[in-house]
Amino acid sequence: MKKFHHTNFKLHLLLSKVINMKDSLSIQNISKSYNDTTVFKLISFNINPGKIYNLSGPNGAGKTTLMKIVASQILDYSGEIFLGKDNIKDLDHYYFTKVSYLPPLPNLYQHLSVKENIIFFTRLNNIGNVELVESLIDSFNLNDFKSKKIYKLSDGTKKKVSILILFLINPDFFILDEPYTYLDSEAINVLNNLIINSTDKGKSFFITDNSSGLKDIEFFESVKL
Amino acid sequence: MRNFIDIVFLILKKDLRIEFREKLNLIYVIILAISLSLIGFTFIGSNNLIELFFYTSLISSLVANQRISRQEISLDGELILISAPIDLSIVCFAKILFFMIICLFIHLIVFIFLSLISNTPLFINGINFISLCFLFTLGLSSILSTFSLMLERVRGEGQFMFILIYPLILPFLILGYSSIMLVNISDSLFFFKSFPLQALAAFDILLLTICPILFSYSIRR
Amino acid sequence: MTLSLYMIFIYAPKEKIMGDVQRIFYFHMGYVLVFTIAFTMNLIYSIKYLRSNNPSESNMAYINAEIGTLFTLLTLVSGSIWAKPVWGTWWTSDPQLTTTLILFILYFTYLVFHKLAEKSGVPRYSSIFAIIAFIDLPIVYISVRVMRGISPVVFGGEGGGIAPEMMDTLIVTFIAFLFLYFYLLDMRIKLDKI
Repeated sequence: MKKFHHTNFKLHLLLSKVINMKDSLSIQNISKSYNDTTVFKLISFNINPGKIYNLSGPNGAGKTTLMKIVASQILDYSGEIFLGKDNIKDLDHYYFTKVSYLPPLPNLYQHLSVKENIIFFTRLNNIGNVELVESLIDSFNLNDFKSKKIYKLSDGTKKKVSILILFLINPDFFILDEPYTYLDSEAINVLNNLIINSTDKGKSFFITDNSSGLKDIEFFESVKL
Repeated sequence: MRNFIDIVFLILKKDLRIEFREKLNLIYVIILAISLSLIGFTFIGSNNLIELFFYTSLISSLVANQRISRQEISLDGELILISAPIDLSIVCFAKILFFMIICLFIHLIVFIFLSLISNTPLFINGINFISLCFLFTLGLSSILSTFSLMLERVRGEGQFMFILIYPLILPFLILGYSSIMLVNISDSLFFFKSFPLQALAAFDILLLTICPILFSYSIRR
Repeated sequence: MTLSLYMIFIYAPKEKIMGDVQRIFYFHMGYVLVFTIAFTMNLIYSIKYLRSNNPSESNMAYINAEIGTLFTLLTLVSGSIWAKPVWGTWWTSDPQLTTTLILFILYFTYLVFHKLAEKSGVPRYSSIFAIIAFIDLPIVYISVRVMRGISPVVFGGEGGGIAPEMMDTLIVTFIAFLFLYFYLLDMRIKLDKI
């Protein structure tokens, strides 16, 4: 695996955690149809701790749909998904403490500032690590944008804020749908850095991307639609 | 319990901040409330001011709820909360409180405007009047907030499903109207002991309890 | 039902004040019984559907609402027919009448809502609607007791007593309408299966 130099040693320290044994996500025979159209049929794979998985397929293959199903954003499907031994449909909101989904378009409150969005999400997810917040803001060069309203930012900057919040939440499973879209090369490097450091700590990634941002990441497994 | 209150206030503060910062919805609602008051006053005069007050507030609240909910859809606002690691009933409860505050704001606007143009006091007993406004708003908010959260993502013809919710508030009209007839009684104790008001309060408590639970069931389970 | 009809038109005595027009009241009460049962079953099946996600339960809730809505309409119509010679008007803003009308509007709206919800892929929402709509049902009954209008109170109340023959007729009518409810339910379920 290609190693990235840790440009931010403090960030590396903050991400270091003693990780206990983690459950795997087991996706079993997932099929999805809309009215009479079958999107995909009988997809099965596992997402194990500390691994990176790539989801590939042509446009319209149902990549975002599958990601949303795994992220429990879509509940109307056949098949089962297990987190360890538990069906995710039985876990209710507890599942969202383990899994977070990054949509292609940033999901933020447009009329709140960057700082206000960060505070809101950290409080919602009960995160109190102020040092990590500052460190991530530094890494993504968002210091100048802290008090700006989201709707005034460029798409790339909004994407950085979304990714920052995701890594603050720091779930066990990251579902990233087109994470590199809108990002500049520096931000792509920071994101890859974060992905690799997190997998070292036992976090898992399920990524789909049509850009070249993924070329420097070595995947454990590629899921094809 | 502490966590429940913290999250409710977190969501409530966020919604109020966005609404008062953006201002557009509030401006629409103020214009609508004033226009409806004026139209009603022109046709009815100052004879049935208190009925006009509740009628105008009701229509303005319905429109405000639709406007605020639809804006949330377009900005994907509620997807954030639906995907959060919190019980959905807390989200619903926070939204009910938020919409109650908006409704009470509408009540205030209509009250000020009607008082100015009619030059007549709308009520004799302030305690009765405020209590009735509060109870009327609470039940209304419970139903409208719950359904607006549920229906906001329905596409196509389903967008009109929201109009079909309005009959659910008809029972309030019966109980609210009966209470309106008693609101100017100077004896507050008699007013609070009256059946329509107590039934309205019971109805509100019931809705405030079951709506968040039903919402949670409808989305996640 | 035949026995009930016989008792209504032949066995039951003529009411002293209202005369023969009072006989419509037996049908009226029968309709009330049917819609009460139907809406209660609608609630039960709606709750069951929320828990189990079984489409047949959603269907049963809908069928019960159909029957209940029809009988609510019949209640209003029979009430109006009775009201005209007695009160001199087809309709008045009496609390009991108004709440029954609200009930009809509510469940008629539920039927439309249910179809739209199914079409839009969110059938669970109609169960939520049904649960909240059912809360209106007690208000209809309470309005008779407490928000006293001009509608007569058949049971209890200060002057609500009726002759023994009338009570017998009422009980038999209730039983007849109960059977009618089950018969209509069965027919409607069979219609669905075709």
